[in-house]
Amino acid sequence: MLIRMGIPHQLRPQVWSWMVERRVGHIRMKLDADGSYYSKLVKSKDAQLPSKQIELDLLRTLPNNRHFSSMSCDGVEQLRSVLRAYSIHNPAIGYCQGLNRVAAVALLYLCEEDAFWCVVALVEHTMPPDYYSTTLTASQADQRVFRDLLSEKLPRLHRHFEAAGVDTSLITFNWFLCIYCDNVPAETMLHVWDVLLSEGSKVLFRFGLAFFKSVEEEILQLPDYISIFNYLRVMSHRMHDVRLLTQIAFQALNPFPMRKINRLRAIHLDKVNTELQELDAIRKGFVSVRKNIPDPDAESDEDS
Amino acid sequence: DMGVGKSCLLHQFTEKKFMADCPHTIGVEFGTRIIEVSGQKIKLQIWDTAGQERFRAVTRSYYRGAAGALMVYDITRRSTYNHLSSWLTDARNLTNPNTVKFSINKYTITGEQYRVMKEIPAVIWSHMVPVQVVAELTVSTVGNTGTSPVPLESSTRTAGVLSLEDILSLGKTDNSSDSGEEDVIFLIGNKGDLDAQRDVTYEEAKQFADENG
Repeated sequence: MLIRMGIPHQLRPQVWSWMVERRVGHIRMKLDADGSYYSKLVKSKDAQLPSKQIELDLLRTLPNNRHFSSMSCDGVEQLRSVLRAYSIHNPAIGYCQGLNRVAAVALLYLCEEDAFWCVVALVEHTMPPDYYSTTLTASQADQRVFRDLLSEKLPRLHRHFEAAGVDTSLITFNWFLCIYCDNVPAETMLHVWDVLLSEGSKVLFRFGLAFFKSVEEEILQLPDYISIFNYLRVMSHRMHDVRLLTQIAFQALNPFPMRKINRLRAIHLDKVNTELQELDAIRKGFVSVRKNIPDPDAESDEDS
Repeated sequence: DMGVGKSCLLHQFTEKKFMADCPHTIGVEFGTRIIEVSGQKIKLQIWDTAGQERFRAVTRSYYRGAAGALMVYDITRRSTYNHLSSWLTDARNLTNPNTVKFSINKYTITGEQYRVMKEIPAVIWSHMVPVQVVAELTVSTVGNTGTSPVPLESSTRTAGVLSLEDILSLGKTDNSSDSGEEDVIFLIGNKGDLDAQRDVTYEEAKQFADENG
């Protein structure tokens, strides 16, 4: 509860380490009994390592932060190691865009090894499974859960979006996957992290709804799809008032039972999985139809 | 694919500015610009999708209802070119069920050629003369990869930006004068300023476009 009021900047390294440890302590005991787990991962040369993808994103992670702005920055070197280590630690996920930003924020306050465990704590012990997996099903499902919650908590806004044909997941997907570190004022982002590390993934919904509620009246004035969407694209930049947002997130929006979130997550996860299978079927069907006629681009996949 | 410069192209097109430190896209981004085609104002909405393979599961739900597509690869990375066919499959499969016409664009970056192109756009279009649009990831990208920068003159930058607009207008013109039912896909070999490190030749890209057109 105290954490909802904010962690002082200078205490953040200790408090974050402590909260990470609380989430992964048991795993760490098992994997890291001799204290060399992380350093072994960093040294490991796995052929499956998505090095190219990681390299492509190193400077596209927090380009405006001095620790991550050029290849010679200390932060970039650490970020590379953390991401490589994580992709070996969890090959089912490997490297997912978004994790780079998550790791970079962790590196702002934690040493390299603790930042690695922070990524483990968030991906494997805070977010639902399959949030960053190759199908991203859980993160897709969460956008629909969010939509349901929006219709319940902010019905006027929801109707306004429906009428204009606005799909909020275009905006919220990024918020959730990068844990509010993209285009959100630093103080607000760090506060979301404080509370998320302490309380878990429900916080994602609370703050997302608080963002919308804080500008609800303004959005309601916007007449059409384009104007709404252009507003939504930049609205997160304006979320400076941490106190107000926290007040909305934890008081105005209550009740917020976890049981309900879990139920909605299960329903939507099911739907996303079904749709994914349908899309794959269409895709496979299409490919096989095309294979019956000579396919000029069949050979261009060789190098992939 | 990742890092071919999709968002950079979009930024160029909507803001008319080169963005050196372009962050990567999560999910889908969006840009609009009003262009004028034969006296008519057209509002273009361009969706910019994340390039990483796993995000396809998310982005392909936005293909529906598209009037056309821009497929972008990086001329210095062959793998991005090799993946075009799989992106094309998705585009054909998940957009408008009508036939998709394919066009490769080669725009050579001298001011003179740009001028010529502007004067005869209809001919270029009807003959499908390939035009490659360049986005000028000059100093930043080149610097990042650790090789020596290839400076581009400011005039060529402008030409590159404008050409994308021209090509889109051309596509629209064609669409309205034609049956109006066809989606158009453009192939863009990006990072034309890194011609020295070219990994995919213009000729093979043109062949790809012809074969799929």
